Amino acid sequence: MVLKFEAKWEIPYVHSAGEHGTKFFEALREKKILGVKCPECGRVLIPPRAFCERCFVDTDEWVEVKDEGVITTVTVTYIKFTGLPDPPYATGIVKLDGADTGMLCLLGGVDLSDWKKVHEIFKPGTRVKAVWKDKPEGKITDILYFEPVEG
Amino acid sequence: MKIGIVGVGITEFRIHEEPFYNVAYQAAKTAMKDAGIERREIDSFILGGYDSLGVGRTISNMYVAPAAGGYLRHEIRVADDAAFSIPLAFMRIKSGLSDVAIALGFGHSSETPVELVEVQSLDPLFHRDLKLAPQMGYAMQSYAYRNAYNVSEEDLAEAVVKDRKNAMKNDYAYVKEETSVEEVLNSDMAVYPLREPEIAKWCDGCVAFILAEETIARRINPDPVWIGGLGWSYDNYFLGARELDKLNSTKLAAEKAYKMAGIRSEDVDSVEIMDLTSDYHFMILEALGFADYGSGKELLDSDFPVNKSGGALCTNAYGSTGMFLMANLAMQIRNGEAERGITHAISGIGQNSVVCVLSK
Repeated sequence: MVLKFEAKWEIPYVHSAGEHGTKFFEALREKKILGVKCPECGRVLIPPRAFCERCFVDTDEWVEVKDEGVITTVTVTYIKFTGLPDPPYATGIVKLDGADTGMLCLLGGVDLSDWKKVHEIFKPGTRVKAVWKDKPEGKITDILYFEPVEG
Repeated sequence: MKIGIVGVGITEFRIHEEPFYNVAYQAAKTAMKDAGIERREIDSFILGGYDSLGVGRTISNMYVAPAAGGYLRHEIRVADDAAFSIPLAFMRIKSGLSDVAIALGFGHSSETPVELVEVQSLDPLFHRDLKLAPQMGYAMQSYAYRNAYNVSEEDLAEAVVKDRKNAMKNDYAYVKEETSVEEVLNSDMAVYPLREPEIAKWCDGCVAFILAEETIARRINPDPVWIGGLGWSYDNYFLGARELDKLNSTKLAAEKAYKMAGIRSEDVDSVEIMDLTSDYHFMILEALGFADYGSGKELLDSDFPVNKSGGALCTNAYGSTGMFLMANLAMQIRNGEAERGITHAISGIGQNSVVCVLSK
């Protein structure tokens, strides 16, 4: 037997959102989602970035996209990972209307306990809409999750 | 000038009670003994593994450099799967800066809440709060892959069965338990659509290689395993901007490695792939050019040797998996079981890949 010692890191970083991030997070406060359009490939990128990594050019045109779109892929976690939320929770990539790239997000608003039933609801092509925090703070968590759009 | 592997050291792959640097020391010692050289004959010390948060020490080289035999020498390290350190060792020798190098890979998961650590590696503004464990990223790729190509659960389960069967014959493999398609399909859903046996389990273990320039390599070992080609590549960090039903980083890395070696996928007779999931097993084979997209399962029905080691699905030490697979291929070539093979490693939810061509 060997001795074991517990260790924990708690380090308070302060990260800059940059000009692009700031504009994006300030728009979340208004329950709006902003992307940037690449002048070369014309794609609307979410999250917005200062340059298009594909074309290597500045992106300076802002575009508001819908807080509604379609699921492109999905997963539901049924096992507990240390330090992560209790299962089940659903994660997916949603392509918002007006955007050309998908957005990593949580999915919710449905009973996740039975994966066979979840699969019937959350699948590629399912239309979903953002459920916002009542009082958005300008953080990515202002969007609690995306839920299926009725009908 | 060719560059050859003249020494291999593989520790046991399991949960180690000893800290990673002591296990790494064993790998380095074994590799030097295997090559029949002393540490003073080594002039490059290359380290690879999940540094920093991965092992809970911000400067892992304080321990791993001495474990590689690098006391009062220099070291350079790659904070990624250790297989990504091979190009670095190769380039140091190729450039003439070094004659004999050690590449030491450390893999250690058992002290670390791996998923929590991996969440910290995500972008702090847009992604970290979404608590995406790597397995969830793999699962989204699995979902996209199955959906794009209608790949059946039975075929995917078969990939697990095959790896498990191969691992039974590998002394170094971690998971040694045969299974059946039925058993896989009846096992618990872990990270939908992946069931528990379809996801690689973490373990600990270290690997070291002694690499040398051609003339010296032949003096050290009459039959070195030559590194014929290398390629590495990375895909977009943003998952939403990637084609999730394919592994493009692997495809690009393979193209470079094939080009450098002057070969095509048809020219190899063994392949070791870092199949962290059942879907990856097929997706990697497709990206390497062994099958069309969506048809990776064809290789299960053929005699072509894929993962004689048991693959990552049976041995996945956090940080040394790719190097473990490479060591297995090198041993196959040494033992005459293969003449020329390729070995693959992947990291970061499929973002980064490295492919090496090894030959007799």
